[in-house]
Amino acid sequence: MNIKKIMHVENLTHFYGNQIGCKNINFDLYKGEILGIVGESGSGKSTLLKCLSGEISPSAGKINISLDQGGVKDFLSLPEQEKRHLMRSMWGIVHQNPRDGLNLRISAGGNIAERLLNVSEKNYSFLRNTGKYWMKKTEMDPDRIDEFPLSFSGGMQQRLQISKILSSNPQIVFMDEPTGGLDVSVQAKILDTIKSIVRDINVTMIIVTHDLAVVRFLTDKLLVMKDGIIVESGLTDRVLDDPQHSYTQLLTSSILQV
Amino acid sequence: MKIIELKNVNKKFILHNQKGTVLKVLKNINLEIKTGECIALVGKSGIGKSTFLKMLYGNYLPSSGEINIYNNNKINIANALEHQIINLRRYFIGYVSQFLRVLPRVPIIEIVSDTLKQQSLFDEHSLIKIKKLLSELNIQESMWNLSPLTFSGGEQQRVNLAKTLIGNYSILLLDEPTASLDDINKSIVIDMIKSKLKKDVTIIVIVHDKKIRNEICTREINLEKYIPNDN
Repeated sequence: MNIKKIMHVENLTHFYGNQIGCKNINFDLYKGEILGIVGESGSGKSTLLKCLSGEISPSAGKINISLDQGGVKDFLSLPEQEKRHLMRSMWGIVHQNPRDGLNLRISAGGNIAERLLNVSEKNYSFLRNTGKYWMKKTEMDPDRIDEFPLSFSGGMQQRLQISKILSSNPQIVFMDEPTGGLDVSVQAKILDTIKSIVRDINVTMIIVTHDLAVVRFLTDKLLVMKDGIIVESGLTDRVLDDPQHSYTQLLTSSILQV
Repeated sequence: MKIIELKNVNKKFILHNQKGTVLKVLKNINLEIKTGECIALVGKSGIGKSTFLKMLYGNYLPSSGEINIYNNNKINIANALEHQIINLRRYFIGYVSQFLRVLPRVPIIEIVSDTLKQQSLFDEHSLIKIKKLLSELNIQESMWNLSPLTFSGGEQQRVNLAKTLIGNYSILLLDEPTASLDDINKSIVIDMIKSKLKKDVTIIVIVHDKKIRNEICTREINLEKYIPNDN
């Protein structure tokens, strides 16, 4: 069985002035894999995600990507325009706060259509049907397609953002604490939704979170970060059930039992 | 034909945050398991039987040594890539843990279907097959559309068994599959294990009841001989 390597990261490093953001990050991501990045706040996990998704330019290192079309590309040395195009069409970024990922001045349907327009889809009824299809898929009421995001609850806004990202069929999705600001019952439902969709469309995903329950539920493999570096990595249940590094042991033994 | 091979496997746990305590559990395991064998792991409680099973499943990491699984090619679980292990677990090795671990709110029928979906074996006959299995395991029809999380220990164990036994695995790792079952359900599960063996499935099982071991197992591996002597 040969699964394609979709991303290869080598010695990725980012400094904020003299301050380490993340340092010497190395890993490979294969098609269909869901990678979790965990660590306490300040561990560099969001910095790493932003370097990977192109939101910030790292100080050093290499990111090779290999998408369905076009062979292996050295992402960081692409011309800015090509980078933007990749990010718009092949990437999807789901922000912790849905309002960062949504356009609040246009309707729910408009938000979903926006990304499809970016990849040159212009048929109005197709756009509208796709909008409804994805609202249904993320368990929203498709009749609310013409309402504005601010009329939705926080959980619904997050669903809308996920619809918007997934509708354009991205090859890699980046999620930063996708259930961070939501209460527990909404969180469980959204995780359920993400999990079932991910299996359906075989998307590759990188999720940053500090919630180990989310990680166990959603991810295949895990990077544990502390002070900007990866202290442990591996199969998710292996890292959580048989942690080798002292920090991972501290992390997994600090979970309160309900 | 050998299907599992352990070479110089050692396992210790280092508890960094508990004064660096080192627990040496198993040492110098060298053995081969052939296709179709039914192996019982024996030894007193705490000796490392579950640890042994978990290492075979890739859930625990051996401190050193190789654990080779012979599929079409050889895969060393101790240093395989994550997606290789995930793939082995999806199609080749099934594991029934002592305790059921499922998502909240997912009904039994979906939990069991999921195994077949993952193996790409789910078709129009699957639901009939699943319902038959659940009935054989005496899981009442009224429960099929409920989440098993609030069920009794024995019921949860039978759901846990159904979830794995429905699949088409070549290796089954069973951690006390009959521990919280009554005698009737015990013999039902034993019959199911026997029918898996008839299909040449390789089984490694932890079971305390000597009578059951004599009934299904072709060989016993006593873990006493792998206790590190400097402990």
